[in-house]
Amino acid sequence: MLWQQCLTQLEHEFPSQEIGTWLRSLQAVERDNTLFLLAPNPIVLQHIHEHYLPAIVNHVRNLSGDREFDVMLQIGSRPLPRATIPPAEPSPSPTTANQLSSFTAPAPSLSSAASEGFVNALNSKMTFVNFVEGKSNQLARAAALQVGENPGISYNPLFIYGGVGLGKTHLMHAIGNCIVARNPQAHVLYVYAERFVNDMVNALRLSRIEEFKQHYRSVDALLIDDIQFFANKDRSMEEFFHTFNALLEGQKQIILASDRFPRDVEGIDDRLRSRFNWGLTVQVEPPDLETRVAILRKKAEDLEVLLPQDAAFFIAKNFRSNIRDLEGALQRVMASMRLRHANELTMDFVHDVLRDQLASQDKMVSIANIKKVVAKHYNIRVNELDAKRRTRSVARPRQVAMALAKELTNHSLPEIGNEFGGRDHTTVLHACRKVVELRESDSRIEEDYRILIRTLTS
Amino acid sequence: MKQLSLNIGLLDGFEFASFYPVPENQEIVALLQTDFWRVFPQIFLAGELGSGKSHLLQATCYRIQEQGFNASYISLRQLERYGVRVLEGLDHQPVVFMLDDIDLVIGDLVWETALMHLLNRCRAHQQSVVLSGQFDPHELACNLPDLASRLVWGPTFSLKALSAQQALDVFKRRAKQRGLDIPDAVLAHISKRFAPNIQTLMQILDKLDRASLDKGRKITRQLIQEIFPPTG
Repeated sequence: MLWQQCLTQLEHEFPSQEIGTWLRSLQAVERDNTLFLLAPNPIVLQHIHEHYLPAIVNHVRNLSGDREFDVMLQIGSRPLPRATIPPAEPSPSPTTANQLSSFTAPAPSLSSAASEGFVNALNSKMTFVNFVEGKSNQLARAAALQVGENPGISYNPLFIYGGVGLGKTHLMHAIGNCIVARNPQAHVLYVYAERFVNDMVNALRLSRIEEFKQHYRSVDALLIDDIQFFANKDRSMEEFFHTFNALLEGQKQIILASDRFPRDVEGIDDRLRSRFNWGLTVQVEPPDLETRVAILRKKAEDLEVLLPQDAAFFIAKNFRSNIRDLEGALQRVMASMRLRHANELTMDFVHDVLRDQLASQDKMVSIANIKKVVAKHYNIRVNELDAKRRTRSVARPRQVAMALAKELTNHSLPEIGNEFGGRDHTTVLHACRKVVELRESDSRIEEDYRILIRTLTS
Repeated sequence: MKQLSLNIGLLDGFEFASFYPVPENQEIVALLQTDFWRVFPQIFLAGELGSGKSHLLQATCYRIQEQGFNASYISLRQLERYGVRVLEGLDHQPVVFMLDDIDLVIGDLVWETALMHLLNRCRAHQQSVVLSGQFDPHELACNLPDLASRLVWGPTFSLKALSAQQALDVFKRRAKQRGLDIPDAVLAHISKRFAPNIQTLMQILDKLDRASLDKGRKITRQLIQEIFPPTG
């Protein structure tokens, strides 16, 4: 192909890094003796124009011989092979070799989100069947299933919130897939808030706002993920507010997800925030060890890897910040297993493969850091954790910090004691046992402990 | 004519064949030469400067392109100054997306948000992403938890940097690829005078290459003294 030949020539002229960064980001289409070079955005287009276009034109003319190819540089892309509504329109501001002297900054791209169409992006792999249930997500799963089976009737809107990587998105897709499975005609739309915002901005720019409204308001279920990214985007919030009302009036289902409780989402219009509470709000919490093991084993099963119980526990114990972290560790083990043609997973193998990541985690979770985070959480000074004082306001945080050090680091009890003002190892042991007891009997301590674990491991 | 000599000096190319085989890096190098992107939606390469992250990412990009698939290589070292808009549209094209030196933009909330959305879009479009940074993603101080959790969402491989001797071996090999003969005595001189890391050595090679071509001279200690006069 002409462009490939041209690139080969350009590789003799420009550093590989530049070729990789700029020239290989172009897509080429040959049509009617013209080589169309499609740049992904105005910045790339401008840079190519300023730095490489004369060389490109020169090579293309030399390579095309008698056919006398022209070069046209414009913003755009060949569509990805996926479902889209309207096809990409041609860019309004092509730059041809003959227009070099009159080049001006290009008009905005038409080949962005809006012209790709409003994608209905449900992931069919995320269902209730492969969602691993545990204490941490039981309520959210039950509510989600209820909504999936009775959309527009049960809880509307359903608001799912929780920390990152804990399965909110999986639940949303599961609801969407459940609705479609029960009613294949149902129009279910899953989008990230960012996509909604981009679609609206593009629709406004292209004078297609009515089409945008029609699209979002004609669905049977609208699922919007990460709604905290609506923050301070007033026009998008306004539009979403009307969409929300229209859907609710029509008894269409709305499902929203965020990393925090509705009233804590900053930068959101009060009217909208109050509407988030109209239906049911459910939390997804970090999974406990047993649930993490179950998740790992499920994912291993999906990847057709036999994951022994001890290896699953080892990974679950060490990669605890979120499910993505677990998945990353499992995939790392799987990659080495394939590359080393290992038939079974032994503990030694898992240790060896994850050595670097574990070392990184150890660096992050040092006793010094635990003390700092705990002191900040309880609003005391770090050196009070080392002091002799035994008043409850200091003793309790100290016990929590010791228990965290035992759980999150590989230090021995005497080492931990030493780090807390030279205390005896039996004091550390007592602290660990006390915290286990308190976590069961006092919900505030349990909540504190979870927050601290999350802070220290994410 | 000046430009010609500059360009000849940069003909090494980032290919797997020219990647120095540090034993600890063999696994990731082997993986990147497979159709990994059909299996792994995301891979993270962590390694200090000079460990060959950019080389491997570009070699991977070329390999995939040679197979007839679309792949894109984005160097944030080069593109950071253009702002986040430079990422727009880049994900419309490739099957595999290489994002080099992401740690350079970690800490900047605008960039972090743009990266997070980009990773979301790649997942949604089933595009595979290969990321690189100087540190393990667990060690990157992200402001945005949403991004932090996404950076660990795939296998992480640590790349080991070249030892001083390995860096010199690469220097010699690259010089040979460029048709430059560097006697052992001159090599020993270079190893004594300059920091034995691959970035420094490659910059020296580029300058010597140009000077050798411009002046029509072999690479000798005297030429080195002329190009890099001793300071102090």
